Amino acid sequence: MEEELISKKELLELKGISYGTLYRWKRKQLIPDEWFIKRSVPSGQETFFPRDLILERVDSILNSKEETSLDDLAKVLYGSPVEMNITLNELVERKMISDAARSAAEPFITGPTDYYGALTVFSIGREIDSGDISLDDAGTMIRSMAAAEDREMLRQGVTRLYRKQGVTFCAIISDASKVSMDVSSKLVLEISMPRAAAAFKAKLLPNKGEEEDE
Amino acid sequence: MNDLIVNGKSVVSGGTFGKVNVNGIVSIENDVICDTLRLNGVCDITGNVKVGGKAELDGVCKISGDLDAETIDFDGHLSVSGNMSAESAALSAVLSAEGTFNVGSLDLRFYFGSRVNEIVGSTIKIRRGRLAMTFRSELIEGDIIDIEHCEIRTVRGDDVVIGKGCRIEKVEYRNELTVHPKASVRETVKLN
Repeated sequence: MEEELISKKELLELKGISYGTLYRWKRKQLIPDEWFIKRSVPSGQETFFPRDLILERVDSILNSKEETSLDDLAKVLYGSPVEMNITLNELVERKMISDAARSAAEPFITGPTDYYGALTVFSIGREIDSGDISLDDAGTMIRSMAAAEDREMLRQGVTRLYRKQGVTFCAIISDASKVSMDVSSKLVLEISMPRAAAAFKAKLLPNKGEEEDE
Repeated sequence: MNDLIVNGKSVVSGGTFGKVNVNGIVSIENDVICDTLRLNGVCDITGNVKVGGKAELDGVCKISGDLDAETIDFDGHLSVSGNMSAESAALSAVLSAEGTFNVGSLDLRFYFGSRVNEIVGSTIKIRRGRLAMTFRSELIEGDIIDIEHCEIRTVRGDDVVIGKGCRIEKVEYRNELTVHPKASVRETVKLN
């Protein structure tokens, strides 16, 4: 699956930002290192970015720059997980998850949950909403993810849903390049958690002011 | 938080500290995370170094990993096997870095044959120290670039001054380019 890229040159022109600003954001970890993709072009080497991700990110940074310091913003957008204590109902109220996602998660997450729990439901919720998985499968994934001991894997790894002989099961993987699965199992769905986390945090951003008021 | 104060000659292990002060000859094993770093002497660090505030170093320092600090003030000989980053850096040094140096404002006076793979940032100024030769890099990219005695494959910036003794393969600039008569630039491109 080849994602659409945007060259650095085009990005800077399109958004009217300077080299210095771009690299400052990189230093502040507002833009992850992995988004800087080097490719050879006829004129030498050029840096590209995943188009949708970077455009959305640059907009979030430009829009929130006034009231939030870059360091605070970095915490929200990227880097360390944010401190959260939120219930499924509140996630629905904030329009971060749908009713369907709530009902899939309810058996496994009761009471307030932290960042990782919220990210779990959010990432699976997106798959439910897009119609990629059934509620049962979603439940299977949320159950495995909620029980994961290494919580960081939920932010940095990959979660996969496999099916073998009609039975689905979930795998949470920290290094996807080193997995060898039973050949008769079929990969149904794969979620890149850093990607889900980026989308999750982008959703979090407009609400940040409210959070601080409380 | 604990400080790490070392005087004399020793081998210590890294970790998270408030202040790190080193006087003497010291090997630090593993990553060092600290608020401030001060070195007088010789220091060999096998790991990444992350300084929340100022890194002030006089002497010889070898880092097998990345060096990140808010500000870097360095006189001496610095070699870094990974990437470097700082909001501002003033170096009067023999500098070698295998990776990318991402720096807000850089003021470098280089000695001997210094080399950094890539320098990117906002304001980049490079001058030659006494008896030095040329500074080498694959890429220098920033808003304001002012360099002398540099041998660079690509220089890319808004306002670019290519000073005496430079040999540049390709310069891409957005606003203004000045090339010293005693400099050579093989190809120039004005962007947009």
